[in-house]
Amino acid sequence: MKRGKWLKHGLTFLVAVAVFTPLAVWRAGDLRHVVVTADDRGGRARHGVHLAYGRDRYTVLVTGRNRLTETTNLRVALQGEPAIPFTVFSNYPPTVDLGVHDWPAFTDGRLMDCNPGEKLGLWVVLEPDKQALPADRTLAPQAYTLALLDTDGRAVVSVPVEFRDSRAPARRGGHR
Amino acid sequence: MNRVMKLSAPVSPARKRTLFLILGILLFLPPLSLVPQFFGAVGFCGTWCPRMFLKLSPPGRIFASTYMGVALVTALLAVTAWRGRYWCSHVCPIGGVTELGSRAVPKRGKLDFSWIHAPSLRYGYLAVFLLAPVLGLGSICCNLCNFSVVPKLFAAPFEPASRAYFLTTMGGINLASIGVLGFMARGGRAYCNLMCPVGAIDSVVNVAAARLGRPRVRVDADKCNGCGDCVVPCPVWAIEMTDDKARISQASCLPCGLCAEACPEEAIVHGRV
Repeated sequence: MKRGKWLKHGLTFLVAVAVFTPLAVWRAGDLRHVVVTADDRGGRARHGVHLAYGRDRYTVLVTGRNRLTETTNLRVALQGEPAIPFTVFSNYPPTVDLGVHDWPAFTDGRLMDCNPGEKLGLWVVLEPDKQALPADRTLAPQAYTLALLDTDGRAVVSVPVEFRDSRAPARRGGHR
Repeated sequence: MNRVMKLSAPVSPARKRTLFLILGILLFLPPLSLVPQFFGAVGFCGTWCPRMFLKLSPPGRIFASTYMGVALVTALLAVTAWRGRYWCSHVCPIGGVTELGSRAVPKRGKLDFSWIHAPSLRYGYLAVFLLAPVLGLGSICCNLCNFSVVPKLFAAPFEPASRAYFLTTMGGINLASIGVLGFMARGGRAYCNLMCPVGAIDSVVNVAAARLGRPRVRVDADKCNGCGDCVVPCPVWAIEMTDDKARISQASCLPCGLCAEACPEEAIVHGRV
């Protein structure tokens, strides 16, 4: 009886591992999070963003630190052809602002008065025309750049964004 | 015996606990986010994330960027070692939301997950949570996150950013899992009991502390008449009947006091195991 109990417990453990491992590996093709650092030298992104073709809505969450030396306004640009309509949202400031923290104001899709050292948090929702996937071939990757531009139009962060055909063979060494 | 404290005090502990849970929600969740605001956050993502650093990969950077989450988990584990899992049962706004929310769901619509041996599944989840990033497979940390989805649920009426999350595939999956394992679950704590890595580590500390003789919720076998009235109200199905006596598993028990309230013999006490 006791042996049966331990067997059941062991099986439950293995089932959990079998269920949750694919969930750790799998990434839905419509949401990506990228951590960035904005600085005067063009900034850096920890990795690129890869999205799956064939959706009508994608969300890229951009979070990170502002390491610029001066206070500026930041706006988002998605560079590449064909142009994809997008909307930008921010988590900041909180709905009920207690006034205990300086938050960048978010107006007209721009983060206003971003001070050095502050956090960045933007949700960029891309809404391209849904692309039909041909049955006889896979589509070539399509590259864009998601950039944060300062008031002079200078990129302080650039994130490579690539749309991939999920049916294409996986490339080695790339970021998911 | 003088170290034993009755859980069934004149003011219902369950009622007191509800007030604590509401306070936890007000302190940590949007739209107020009272505590996170002091640290430049609006929820548990970022500075307050209590899950990220548990991945142990890469340690330094994550410790530095989620320092309040590290402090929070350290504090709650210390409380667990000292007295029991009071963060999970009395404060955690995530478990609090699912538990309080589940009270609004009619009993007939509730799902019963007590057929699952919770510790085995929970530790399987924890193993994947800890090892998948180390092995380079990916991470379950943000993919299935209770600490992310519940604050966004509260923020969604006010913030388009949170609404955008729920329109993604993972947002939908997370919302569904909180719905099924939280609001729809009997007791409202199935998500906590099965898929919370913080709760999983907390339960390990709870078991260790119990073995080291720290006071925990326990059954006074002399008083227990084996009626089983304590089994049903337990939100984490931690009580089983063995040889006509109730037995509490410290691997799952939250000191919520619901079993003590249900016990006609006052056989459930907080004391040394």
